[in-house]
Amino acid sequence: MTIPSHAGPGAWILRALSVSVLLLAAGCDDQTLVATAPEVEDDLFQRYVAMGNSITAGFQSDGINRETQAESYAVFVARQMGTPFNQPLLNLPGCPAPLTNPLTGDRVGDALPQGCALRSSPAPRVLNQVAVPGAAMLDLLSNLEPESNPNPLTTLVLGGRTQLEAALDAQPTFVSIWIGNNDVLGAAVSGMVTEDNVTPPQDFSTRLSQSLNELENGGVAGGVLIGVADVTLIPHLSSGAAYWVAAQGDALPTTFQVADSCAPSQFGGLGEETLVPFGYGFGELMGQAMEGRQVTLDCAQDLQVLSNQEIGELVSTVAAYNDILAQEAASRGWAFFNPNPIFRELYDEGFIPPFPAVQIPSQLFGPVFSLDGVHPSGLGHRLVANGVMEAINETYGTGLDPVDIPDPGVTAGSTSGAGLQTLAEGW
Amino acid sequence: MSCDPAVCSGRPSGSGVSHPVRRWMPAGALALLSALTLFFALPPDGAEAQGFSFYQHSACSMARAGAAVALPCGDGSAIFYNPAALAEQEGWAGSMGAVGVFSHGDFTDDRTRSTTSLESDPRIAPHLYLTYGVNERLAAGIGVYAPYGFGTEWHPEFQGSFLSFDSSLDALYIQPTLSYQLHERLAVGAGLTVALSQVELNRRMDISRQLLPGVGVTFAELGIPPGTPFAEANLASDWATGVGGHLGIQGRIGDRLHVGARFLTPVELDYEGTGSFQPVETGRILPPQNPFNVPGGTPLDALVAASFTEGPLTEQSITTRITLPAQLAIGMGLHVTPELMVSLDYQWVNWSSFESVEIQFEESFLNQTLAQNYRDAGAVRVGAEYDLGEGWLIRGGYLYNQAASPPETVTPLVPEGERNHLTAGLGWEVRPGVRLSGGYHYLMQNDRRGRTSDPADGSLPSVELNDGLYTVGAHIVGFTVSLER
Repeated sequence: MTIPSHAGPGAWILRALSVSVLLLAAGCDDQTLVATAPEVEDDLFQRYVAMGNSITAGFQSDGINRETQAESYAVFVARQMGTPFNQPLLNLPGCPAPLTNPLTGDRVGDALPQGCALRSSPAPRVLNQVAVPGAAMLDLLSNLEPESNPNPLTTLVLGGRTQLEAALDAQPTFVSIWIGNNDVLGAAVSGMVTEDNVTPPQDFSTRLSQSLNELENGGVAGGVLIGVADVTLIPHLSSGAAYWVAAQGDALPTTFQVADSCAPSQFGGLGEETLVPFGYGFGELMGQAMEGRQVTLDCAQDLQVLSNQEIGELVSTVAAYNDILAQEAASRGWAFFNPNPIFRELYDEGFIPPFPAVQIPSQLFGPVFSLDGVHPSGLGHRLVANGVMEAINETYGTGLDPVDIPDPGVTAGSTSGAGLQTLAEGW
Repeated sequence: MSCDPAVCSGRPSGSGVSHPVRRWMPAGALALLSALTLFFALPPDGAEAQGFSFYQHSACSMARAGAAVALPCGDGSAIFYNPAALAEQEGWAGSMGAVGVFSHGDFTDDRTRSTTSLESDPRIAPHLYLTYGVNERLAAGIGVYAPYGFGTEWHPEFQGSFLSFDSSLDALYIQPTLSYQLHERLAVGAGLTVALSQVELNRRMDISRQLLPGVGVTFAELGIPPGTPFAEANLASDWATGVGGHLGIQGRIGDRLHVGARFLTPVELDYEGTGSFQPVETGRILPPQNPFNVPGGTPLDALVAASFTEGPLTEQSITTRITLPAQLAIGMGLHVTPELMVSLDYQWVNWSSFESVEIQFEESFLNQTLAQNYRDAGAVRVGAEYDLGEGWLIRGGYLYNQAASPPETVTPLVPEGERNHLTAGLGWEVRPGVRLSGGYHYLMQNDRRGRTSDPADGSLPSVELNDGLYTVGAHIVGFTVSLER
């Protein structure tokens, strides 16, 4: 028997073989091989981690929740970088809930000051935001030292890790660090500067170096250090003179007396040279005055009032911190951003009120600060974000675009919202 | 029928120029072969065909990419590839061999771009067949093969270890078979499949997903980050048994074209076993003022330590049920020339029956449902065999198979996907009645996106959880020795 070499079934099978070859080719053209990581503005920003304290964490109006967290400058920076940014989101109303009226103490959701609504679920596996409210420089390294500043949010954010450990878990390529405010802030808001509530610059420097070394050893390729804010510029602190003027204008209850020691210097007082924390002036004295008790603010005697010497110590300490930060950044080729020129200009332009605007409780401390007078508002965070990104662009040659600065919708001091936009463009 | 017996015979191919002689094989040798096969039977890697099926049940068939339904190899593997094809078996024949699977793979994380390698050890899947032609129409046989199984191993520190880091499924089928020649052009066959199977799952447990006793909130809600291991769970079953069937039909059209089909029924297996748990140190130390209301400096592990000694994580019994799916294969084989045979198969596997794995614990709150949502999948196989003369045969083939797992259930357990395969091999008749076959199979799985974590409790898996790319491949080698008497 002979077999024809080109029989019908043979041809059919050959056709099937051809189809199979096509399948092979199609199989190799795998759509799942497309790039999976987001397109970031620069490879440096593949994994960005923000470290810091309450400001970076998104704390506003003496509280924090997922809405205030969404307004952190770090969120805006990450957005412009085009990089994922997972936060330890806190359920509404917050932990604690932010104030809605600092004069009455009302909070979001009528929550109590000590309430905590816990973390949102599902939690992200990796955190890009590891900043913890209350953290000082030491807290980057340890939660367990006697000088550490742990609070419930330390665990809620970090889950038993230090900030450094949590940051390294995210394998960051780029970090921002805004820490150090709490190394002096406690002294400022208490009105009493002591050896125990201000971190010596040498300790600040040692802890910063250790943190940065560990980050670089962990693979961090770059970063930006943000200078410590000049605590004398925050609207939580008002000059004694402002209280004296308010009293002269009958803006205070008759039971609230302001001693002549708080008068401006031209009236023989120390007013411009002292700072009264809101918590003392309004929280303590005003509260008693409203209850009908006779109180007197004495800028020369009251321990809770920052004296000229204490203010000088705080200012010089902050300047020392910022010198250290700038030097560390320069030595490592990192960016450094000092926010104080911006805050100074905002102060000078009237966006930071010298005295709480009690007639507008929703903007008691102006448009740039939230209702605790310490933490920036969403608008303030946007201004900081643009400053941070400008510093990054200058150092790394990147092209991060600034975020829009919305019209605050109010007049602060003598300058309108449109003026704020103009001001921001000038920075 | 007038035709060259070497071309037109319905006798399984791959037999070279052997001459059937009806004589007894030494019974002791066969018993020893059987015992060895059962003893050393290990599952393949699940990296050979779609899902966790395995199709390499002889070196000859493997070299032809498994395209053997119409014309199985003459080494007794027809018991698997088409039970009907035993019908023209003459005398005693037996074969045994093994297939070694050397798989490789990794997972590349989207976010970090870091790669974790698969650490699966090489696996051996043996096969054993014994056949006897009772008369010119009736033949009987028994075979042992492993049509399903997997064994995947990752480092316990791998981010996907909460799904699985060292897991396996062994399934051995023992199949007594009868085959009958209804007509010179048509044969049928049937076998009873007795499945022996065991399954083991090793995975880490994430403390962030646990409920804090007496509080009703999870550890994650109190800040413990997802991906914090606190225990390793070993869930191991005893051997389970199940029964199914295997049917085949084989026909011949004209002198050169053969057709065939087979259907392997599903086998349902009820597993019983033991769940045991070992603590894993979290390394987390709770600071003062923590929301757990324990003193600062307390290790997180202290909060769950009692669970391992007197709580829910003590050793306990477990049960689960898995259905090994049905298979249907149809194919044709053509003797293009007296020397050249080509074959084409299409195989369908009812993977949609593998919807989920429900693990029941003695402590019912530990019960888990591992959603799989597999879908039916097909494979196309093309094989060829050429007689070089002087007892030598050369074989080759190509195979394409679809993925059985949907995009949302590609996990470290079985990171499976669409695959292309190339095969090649040689057959050699050492002396009359003794044949040796060797084969090589290269598996190329298309890179596939998958996940390394489970959805939140109560949620269904979705592609949004996919966080990286799985790359899998394998080199497979096999040898079979066949004896005929």
